[in-house]
Amino acid sequence: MRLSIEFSGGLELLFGKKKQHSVEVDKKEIVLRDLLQWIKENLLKERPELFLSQQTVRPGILVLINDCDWELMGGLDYKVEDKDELVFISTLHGG
Amino acid sequence: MDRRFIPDLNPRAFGPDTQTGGWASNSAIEAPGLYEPRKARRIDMGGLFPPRDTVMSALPRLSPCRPALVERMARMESCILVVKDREVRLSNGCNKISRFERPSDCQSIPENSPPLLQKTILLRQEAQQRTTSRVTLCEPIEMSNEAPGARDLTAKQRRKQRDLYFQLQLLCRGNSKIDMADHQEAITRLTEENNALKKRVAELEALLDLKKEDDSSRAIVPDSSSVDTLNNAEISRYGRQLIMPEIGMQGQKKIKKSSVLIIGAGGLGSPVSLYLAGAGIGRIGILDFDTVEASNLHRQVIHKESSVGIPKAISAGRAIREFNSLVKVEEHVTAFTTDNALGLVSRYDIIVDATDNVATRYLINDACVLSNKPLVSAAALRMDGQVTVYHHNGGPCYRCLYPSPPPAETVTDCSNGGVLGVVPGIVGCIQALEVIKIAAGTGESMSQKLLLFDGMSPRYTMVKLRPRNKECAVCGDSPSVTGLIDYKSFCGSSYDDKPCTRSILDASLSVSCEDYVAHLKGGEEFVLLDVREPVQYDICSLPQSKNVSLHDMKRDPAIITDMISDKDKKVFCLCRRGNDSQSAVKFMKELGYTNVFNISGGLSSWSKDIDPNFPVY
Ligand SMILES: [Zn+2]
Repeated sequence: MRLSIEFSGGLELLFGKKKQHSVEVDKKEIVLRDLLQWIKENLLKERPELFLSQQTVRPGILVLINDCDWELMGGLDYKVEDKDELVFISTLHGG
Repeated sequence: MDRRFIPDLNPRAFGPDTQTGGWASNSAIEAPGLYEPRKARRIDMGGLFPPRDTVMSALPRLSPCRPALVERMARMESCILVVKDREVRLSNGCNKISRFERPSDCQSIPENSPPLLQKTILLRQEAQQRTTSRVTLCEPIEMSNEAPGARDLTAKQRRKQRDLYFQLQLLCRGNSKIDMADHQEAITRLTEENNALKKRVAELEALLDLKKEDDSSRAIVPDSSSVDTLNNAEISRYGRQLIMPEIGMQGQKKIKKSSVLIIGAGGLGSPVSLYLAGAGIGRIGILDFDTVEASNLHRQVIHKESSVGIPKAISAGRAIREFNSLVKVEEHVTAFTTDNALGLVSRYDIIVDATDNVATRYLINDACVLSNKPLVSAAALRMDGQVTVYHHNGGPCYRCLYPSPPPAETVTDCSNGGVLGVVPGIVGCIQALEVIKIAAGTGESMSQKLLLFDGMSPRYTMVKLRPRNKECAVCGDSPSVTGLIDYKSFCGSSYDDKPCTRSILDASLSVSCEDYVAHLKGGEEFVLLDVREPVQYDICSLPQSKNVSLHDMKRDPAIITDMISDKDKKVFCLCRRGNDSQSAVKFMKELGYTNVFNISGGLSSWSKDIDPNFPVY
């Protein structure tokens, strides 16, 4: 399936400073929990502990699925669909 | 007057009217050959001239070779000494006189004015004097015919003049070879004194303003200024928004009745406070413990250059008052802490989070939930911004979204990550809009929604957030947080985003900038490794340095091992403040380098201890 994955709020620094990733995941079905591992193995360039902790995203990262908070979509158990748009955004604190 | 040594002299722009001994405007002149024949000097002069004989007897030794010039220099009431690279310059400010405070300009104090006002004026005068003349070396002393307005000077100011004059005489003894190192200290001290005075003046002015408000509220006021109606001034001022059906008379009255606490008078607080004042929010509280710095101004547009050194809350409060005298302003020059949070929040209807750090964000959230106040929150970094409304209309709070704080090392602040000034401006404006809508009870709020702004793409994305979490520690159905907690230890960070220096290395692995300089002179071969990001290296760097960022060397150690093949080679690691360089030393030790040292305090210490001309960013 084809997915659009985006990292922002500074998180892109862990992914080769690239925000937008258009990827082809060679799976028929995948839940978000497993997709996180796939991202770690295929997209993540450095310091995995700043992206994942304890099988989920580390505190301070908001996950959006098609512009919706992932909590509304089932969180880690969400079944990812073809053409889904996923955004991983690190919360900002500056002012 | 001998003009041979002073090309391009415009007599009208410079110097006194010799006939009348009166005032002349200030100007800068080029005077090559004043002290040394080969170098051009710029001398700025201006102001009032004391009588000739006073001057000549007072200043015999300044520069005997150029009596005419000396006379002219001495004749000026005030001149400033600026020293750079052994070059002695007399100037008022940097290169030219920006403004010259003549004694007659000093505000005279009405005899029957209240003591507070008197004190304020005196302090302002003193502060102005300091501002206009950073080091005043020569001022009219013991003038036989008194300068206009000179009698307005206080005894203290006269004493000060005498002291400075004495200093100048000491200086002059060295003639052109004046070693100015001592005076750097004086300049620093006076600058500090000046900042303190500015701050005090601002505080007193704020007090005065508050007092005026008190007085006016005690006066008999016509009905039209009551909070329940709009007076004519308000109707004309807010007419353009009054005629909008979305606001209308009822909406504007609600806006007038409402009070807002803005926590943080920085990049977000600047637009928020101005637009809220513009819209006619009845009472605005502005809280900040920090003082204005030059590096704030690119985004904190409510402050002016003249506000540098004074508390942000005072500076912002003043700007709001000047902008709209119809609104009430309350300045809080304090940090927002567990001790004052609930008391402050309870006094306002809507709270604005315009802060810059995680610990305060959790504190504000909890204080708002515990006091049941809506929280309009925003943040900005680099080119990104985020805005949302918490704890409003049954929506989620900050903790519902972020139950546990991020690891401290993942938090980047504006001081390290940078921010483009207009980005907090944009999100701050949206924040102000949300406040106004809540105050007026109009439109749909951003509760349970998050606006993401990406200035690079550019995109504004509105995302739907989860509802209130029934399990939330503070706003849930059975909360575990029922009072404020220790947010610094909760977040593992402090209530500000001030740069701090941590120490992770054994002291024997660090050298001071002075040690490094000594080593430089020693002649031993070494590598100076600047481990900042290339974008920072581009701003400024030391001449002998090589740039490999900490980030890059960790990503690809081969960069280092290729560059420095001899593991016993002496290496000094350097960065902006001395934190990353420590990590770099640690990392290189792990790679097997035996002779690596950290330069303590980094380039900011270099600028402080070795080369004051090295830029600080
Ligand atoms: Zn909550």
